[in-house]
Amino acid sequence: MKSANLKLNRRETMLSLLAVATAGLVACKDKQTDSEIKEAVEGYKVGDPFLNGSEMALLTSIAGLIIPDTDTPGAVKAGVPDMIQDLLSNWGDDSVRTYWRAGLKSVADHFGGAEFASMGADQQVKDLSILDSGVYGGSVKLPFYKDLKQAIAGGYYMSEVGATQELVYDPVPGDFLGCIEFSEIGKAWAT
Amino acid sequence: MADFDVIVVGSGMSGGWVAKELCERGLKVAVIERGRDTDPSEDYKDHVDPWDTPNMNKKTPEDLERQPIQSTVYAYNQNTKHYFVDDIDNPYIVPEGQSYTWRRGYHRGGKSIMWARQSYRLSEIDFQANKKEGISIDWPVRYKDIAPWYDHVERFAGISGSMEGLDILPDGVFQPPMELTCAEHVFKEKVEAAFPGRKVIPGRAAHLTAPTQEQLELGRGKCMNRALCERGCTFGAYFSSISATLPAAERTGNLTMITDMAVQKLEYDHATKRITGVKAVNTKTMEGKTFTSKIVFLNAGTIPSTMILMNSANEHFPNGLANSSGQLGKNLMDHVSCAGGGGIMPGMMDKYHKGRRPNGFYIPRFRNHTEEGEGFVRGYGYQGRIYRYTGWDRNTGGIGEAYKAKNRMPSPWSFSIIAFAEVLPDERNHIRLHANKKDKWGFPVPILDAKMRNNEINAIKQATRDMIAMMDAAGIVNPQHDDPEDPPIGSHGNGIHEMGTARMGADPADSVLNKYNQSHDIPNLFVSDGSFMTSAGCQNPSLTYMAFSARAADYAAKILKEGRI
Repeated sequence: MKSANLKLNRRETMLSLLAVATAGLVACKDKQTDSEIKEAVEGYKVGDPFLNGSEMALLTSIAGLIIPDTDTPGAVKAGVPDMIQDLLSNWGDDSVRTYWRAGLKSVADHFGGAEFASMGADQQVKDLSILDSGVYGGSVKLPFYKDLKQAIAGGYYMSEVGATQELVYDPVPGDFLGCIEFSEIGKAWAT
Repeated sequence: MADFDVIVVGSGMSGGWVAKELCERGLKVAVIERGRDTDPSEDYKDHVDPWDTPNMNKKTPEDLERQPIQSTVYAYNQNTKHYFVDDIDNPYIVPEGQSYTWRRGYHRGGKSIMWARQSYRLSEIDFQANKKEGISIDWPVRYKDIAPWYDHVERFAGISGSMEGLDILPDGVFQPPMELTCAEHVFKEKVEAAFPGRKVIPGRAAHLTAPTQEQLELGRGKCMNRALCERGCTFGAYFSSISATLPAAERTGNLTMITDMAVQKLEYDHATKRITGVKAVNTKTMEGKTFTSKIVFLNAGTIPSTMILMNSANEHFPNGLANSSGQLGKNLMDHVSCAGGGGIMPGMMDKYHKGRRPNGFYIPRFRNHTEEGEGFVRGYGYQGRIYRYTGWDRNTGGIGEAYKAKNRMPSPWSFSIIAFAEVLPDERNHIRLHANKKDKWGFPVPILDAKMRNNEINAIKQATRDMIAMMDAAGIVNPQHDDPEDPPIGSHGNGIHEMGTARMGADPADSVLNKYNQSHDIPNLFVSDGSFMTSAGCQNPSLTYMAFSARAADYAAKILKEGRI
């Protein structure tokens, strides 16, 4: 199947939010940072917060830039960095943690090793915009960034803030209406 | 003196129906279920909001380790995974170079909790096909024999659908159909104009859209269009044995429900040619117990029912109980659910839908009916939908306010479709038991030995071509589809419609069951899960299992009362 979004296809399941692309993992393993990363993961005790301070700072600043506060709260207020911390700490296994640690490092490295989180806001927007359009446009090879972004988006739009304030959440719709004016709803349904 | 009038093995789609019909006829019935009890207040997860879904709905490493097969099915997620078996504890073997995808749930209600609820009648064309084409054996019944029983089960279960007057897909007793979306109306008009032999109709699904008094009395209510069905429905709005048949059986006072007991063997007395006992083991304590009844119904699911009969072999039936024909375990069928496609229907960006319809459109079979098929007999139907999904999960570029604004908009009208093609009965596709490998309860492990063959491959090639042509006619852009010259066909079991391993027929020499789902060899043995199917049709089969089960139960009750058993 070529399409990734055929919801009736029995051969495929729905999208996964923290996708660990095998190719991505292999690519990460080719890098010489690997032994260092592995050591860090091996020393980790499940249940403790996995992401360290600088990783959380990077994640938090990127989450806030991708989905900022506007007329509705953004990803940080919705608790997305903590959700991802919780997933990596309590849900993921070593392969997921290795992938995320290496991935976050690849993003940090992309910004020249400087502390992205402590840059000025304008600089952050500028740098992240360049990275984002490069990755989605195909000129920058940083596959982890797409997974990072999808995890942030998934965490946000599935959160109570994202579903009920940013989008429209209708837990018990009642009748199904197959064709109404979009203006009656005005935004996408959350589910 | 027997413990019960009737023992029903299995509490799912068909077993629930047998229990209901027999209890309502005044018989004392025990339903023996190998799985745990299902408690809707605990098990149904339809109240869980997205933000309370465990692990952001992501499969855990343990899920992948314990349920590597089950976790690949579309219905599997963090709110449904408890309805699927542990693959490590429930092994099966597939011959080298083949595959079989066996999806199942062992709990009260079985797959009737997680099923896709699509409900279609077989037609006279289906019942005649084997005979007409000289394939396998003839069905011992015709549509007119079953039609009143389809009416009966539809009235009770509640099927939403539209009257269409098609001979290939007979109408039934329907509650109002679910609406098509704006884009589906356009698709319907364009496809029907370009291909006069094809119809695009609302899916027929086992959801209450206008509940009857009887349904309301059972505590069932109207469908709320949440599309959380596989989690279990607190409204009882879709048919399951938990929402409908088992409560109906229970209120008669004639039902004894036994859970956590796995039936392993049927005991047989050759002098009377009768089943005399049902041997089961408690799956938690490993304690064995034998139950007795005047009649036994096997409704454990096609593969387990066949396994029980094979495991009950004795000197009189060395190849499996009730298997003088040698057909037990053979003719394993499924549906090929492939030829998927997708794309965008442009326009109508000012239109939307409200609610999440747990259903789609259906295109009834047209090949080898209104249009010839190339290199195959029988045909396929399609299921699909055109919906506007959430925007964010497409993972697109952009950051900040513009990214948020973009994700506030739903996707364009997104088209998706998949075919369900008939699999022919073929004796080479079969189940057997491994000579010495056993599961943790001491039951021999089955070997599932089935392949998709030329007829199915040619059908799926044409289904792929037809689907592309219909997308084209309907103006679907960015079409995505498989290579029509070499489409994937999937393995047996992928359709989750396993059936046929104890086929019914007129002649005891070449069939296991007679036209009432009764064993030719052993008069107090009935099998009315998917095992009985003599051919598969291309329609989702549950409704047919329901109709035959109700009919078989009616017949069993009659002969029991008349002392003919």
